[in-house]
Amino acid sequence: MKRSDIIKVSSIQTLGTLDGPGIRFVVFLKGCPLRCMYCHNPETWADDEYQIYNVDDLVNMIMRYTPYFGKDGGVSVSGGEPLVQAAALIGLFKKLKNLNINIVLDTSGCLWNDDVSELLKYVDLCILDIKHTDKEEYFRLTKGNLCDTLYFLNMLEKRGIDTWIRQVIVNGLNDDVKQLSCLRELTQQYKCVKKVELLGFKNICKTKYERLNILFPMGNIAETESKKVEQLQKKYFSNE
Amino acid sequence: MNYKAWDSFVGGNWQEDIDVRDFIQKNYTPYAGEGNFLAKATSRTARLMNKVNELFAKEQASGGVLSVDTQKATTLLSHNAGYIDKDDEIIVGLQTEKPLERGVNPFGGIRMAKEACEAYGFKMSDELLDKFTYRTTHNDGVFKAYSDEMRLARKAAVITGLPDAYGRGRIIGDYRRVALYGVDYLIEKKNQDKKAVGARNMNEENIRLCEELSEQIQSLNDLKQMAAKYGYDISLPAQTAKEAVQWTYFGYLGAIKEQNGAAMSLGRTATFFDIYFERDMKKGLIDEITAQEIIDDFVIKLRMARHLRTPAYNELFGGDPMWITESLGGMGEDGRTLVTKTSFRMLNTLYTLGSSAEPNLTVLWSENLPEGFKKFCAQTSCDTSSIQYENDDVMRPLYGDDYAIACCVSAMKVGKQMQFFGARCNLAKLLNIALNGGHDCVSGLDIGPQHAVYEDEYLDYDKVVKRYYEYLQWLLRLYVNTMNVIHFMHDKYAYEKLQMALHDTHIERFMAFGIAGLSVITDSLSAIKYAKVKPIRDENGYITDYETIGDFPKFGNDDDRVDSIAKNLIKIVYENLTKTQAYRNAIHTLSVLTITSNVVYGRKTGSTPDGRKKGEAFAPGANPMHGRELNGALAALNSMSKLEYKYARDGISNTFSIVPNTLGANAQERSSNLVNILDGYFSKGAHHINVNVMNRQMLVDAYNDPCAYPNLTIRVSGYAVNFHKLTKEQQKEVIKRTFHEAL
Repeated sequence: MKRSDIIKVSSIQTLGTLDGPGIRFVVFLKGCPLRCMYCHNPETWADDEYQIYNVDDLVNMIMRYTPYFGKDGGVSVSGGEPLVQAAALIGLFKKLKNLNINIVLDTSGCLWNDDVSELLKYVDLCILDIKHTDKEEYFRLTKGNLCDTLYFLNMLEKRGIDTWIRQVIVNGLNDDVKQLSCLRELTQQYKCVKKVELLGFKNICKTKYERLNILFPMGNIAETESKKVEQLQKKYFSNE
Repeated sequence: MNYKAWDSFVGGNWQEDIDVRDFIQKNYTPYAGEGNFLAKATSRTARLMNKVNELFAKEQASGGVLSVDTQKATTLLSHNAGYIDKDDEIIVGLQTEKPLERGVNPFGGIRMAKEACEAYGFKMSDELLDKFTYRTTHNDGVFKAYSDEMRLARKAAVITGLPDAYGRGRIIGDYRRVALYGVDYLIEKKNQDKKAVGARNMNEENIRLCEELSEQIQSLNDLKQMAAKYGYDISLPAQTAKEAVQWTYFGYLGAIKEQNGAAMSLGRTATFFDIYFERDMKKGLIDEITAQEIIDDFVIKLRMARHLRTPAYNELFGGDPMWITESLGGMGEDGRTLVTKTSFRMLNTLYTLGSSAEPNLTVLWSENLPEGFKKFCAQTSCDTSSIQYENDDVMRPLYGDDYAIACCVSAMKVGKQMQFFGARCNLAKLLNIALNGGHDCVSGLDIGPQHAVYEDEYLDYDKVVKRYYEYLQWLLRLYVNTMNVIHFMHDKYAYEKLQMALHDTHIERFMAFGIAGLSVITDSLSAIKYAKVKPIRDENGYITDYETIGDFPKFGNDDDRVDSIAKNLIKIVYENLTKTQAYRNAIHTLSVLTITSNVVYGRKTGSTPDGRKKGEAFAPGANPMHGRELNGALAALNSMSKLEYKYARDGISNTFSIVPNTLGANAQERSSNLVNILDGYFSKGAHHINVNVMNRQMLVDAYNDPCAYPNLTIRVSGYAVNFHKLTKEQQKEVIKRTFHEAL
């Protein structure tokens, strides 16, 4: 087995309906350079407790689920940050593309290299998470660089890859007029952006942090009410 | 032959002989559109339904039974006409003279009927009790013939829920025949058949058939008289849609007055009715509003149907079900869909009348069903959690295109096939009995082949399997023989006269066996194979618990290592059943279905090597054990789709619960995702699925405050229940089940 064939998987959700159109087979990958304060999948951070799949195994497994995909569904790769394993994913995506399976990449867009560039050739839809539109706030929230994400967005535009923008709304952090207007203005400049989706912050992942013995920095912050998220969605992104 | 009532119908073999399928095929109008033509409830319907809801609330407040007529045994003619509100009713007929009053049916067994009365604070009249003291009931007959071993297996609850004290049910009369032909023609046909059988040599088989035909003819005469009490003459065919529904309903009403079978299913009536609706509409006699009103009123009557049961019975079949199963949709053998506008109208009653457990609406799913119908079904499931789905594409090749589902998952050709219902045996408990060399630690009884207790320190897979198969062979032979006794006696003492009068004289019979605890025995064998299992013994040396070291693959994760164990087990059970001849040359069939008995079976089963503790409920039907599915809903569905229908032709039940937000972000997405799930699941050859779209929290709230959710309907097994009609223990088990949720 070539090293580049190995994919480190954190978990698999055979029935995903929120990570792309239709029914999705969602692969959550190990590894992420960001440390988002509200991260839902902190178990993907450490380089341990993963399942190893080679590309063929994973493709064979996915083939068991193609009858459920209908005309819209397919495979979504999420994480963690899937771009970390871009080299190995190229092989997977190539095979899926040959099988005419729809591919969604769910990413923060925080990495760029030749492998990532190659990988994007096979992506049908990118879900790009722009966690904050202010550079400093972005860093405070994620320990990452907003410029990387914006560069990635530019590349998506250049390649003409359909994109859904996502943002998790946290009370007092990014629910203000300035931030949301900024997000609207930013995304309106891109033809590739087909939809902007706001999601409410939830703290059901609290138990995960406890189990992993990691401090959950947002453990005490109230969940964002779904009504509020709906209102903001309507106010700022009703056209999408 | 021709009747005025048949004007403008396309003729065919159905006019020469009793052939309802031919009538349908020649005359029905497939509908490929969407549900936007449907009408809402009229003010009359709303008014009547309000009254009915008040009665339901009163019934619930009285402890589940509103009243019992303790004076007489229920028969077709025991009661005069009864109404909810005579002036407001379109379709008429109740089982007794008052709505929701239950009749007493002692033909299955007088003791059970007496206990049932007493359980709800009523007392059977002395006269009735006296009458049945001198009459042999089905129950008397069975216990006269049971062997010691049969009694023991029953007592140890390794075979449980047997229909030896109540009506076996799961027989579908072809009630449509009443409407299409009128009763006189049916009587004439049966007389001809009786003559022909009478000309044969009088062996036991033919003598019995002659006697049965006499009873069938008598019951058809009684049916006419029963309808006459309501002012209807049903000797001739129905002339209008309203009459077609009324005639058919009289047939069904007669059946439930006569029989208290566990499942009294309706059949496949919607597309049959649709032919009459279409004709009346073409003639300008009715419009869509009236058509819906007739169906609504029919369904209201079905929702009123009741039988008197004992609390012990309710444990096995929780929620006071009747299994008035109506099979909807499906495809014809010629490739046309059997979906009609009336298929929609029937589903629409869940909106016009509100969601409900009965009738048990069952959609026969095919990948070729019209998209509009698929969408409407999915939307109705998301809104009401009141529909189950069964795979027409695997059943049609075996049963043709005029079959229906009896009870939950039992397919049969309407009017041409029937089954002998056989409850189920407990495969998980059998493992403990086998390892203990024929001792059941829960009941303390010695049963089956007697051997030394399994000796080694750890369980060895091959040794265990060898031992288990020996006990399995013993049990399944005993099971078939026990069923033979039961059904011999049922035919003798509680024969379904009217229902069988609405069958062909020469029919095909199934004997339907069942298994409980499939996922428990499967995971237990997997634990023994892939982990290390150390038996723990009590002071007498019997194994009462297990220590399981290490992980093992579990059923419900699309893992062939363990799924193949379940798949293989079904094949082995089926093959062993067929080794013992069944009564009346019935064809052996097998189901993986538990109703709500998974709770009782669990209570009567000690700890098992999969980590399940003594007394813990099993998963229902073929479901994976709660909380063991780790790869999401579709992986669980894939595991279940591997169980082969050809070895479990009496049905493989899967109860699926999913949180709305996990199914999709909005109503439209939820419906279209559900359609894709159903298409995918059934394309893999799976047989059945109950769909619940709800949050667990709602059930918890309903558990704590039943009054807040009086009409909460949930599919629990091959049927739906009003949640508050379950026992607290059953409610708790339902809450514990896996609700698929992606975090």
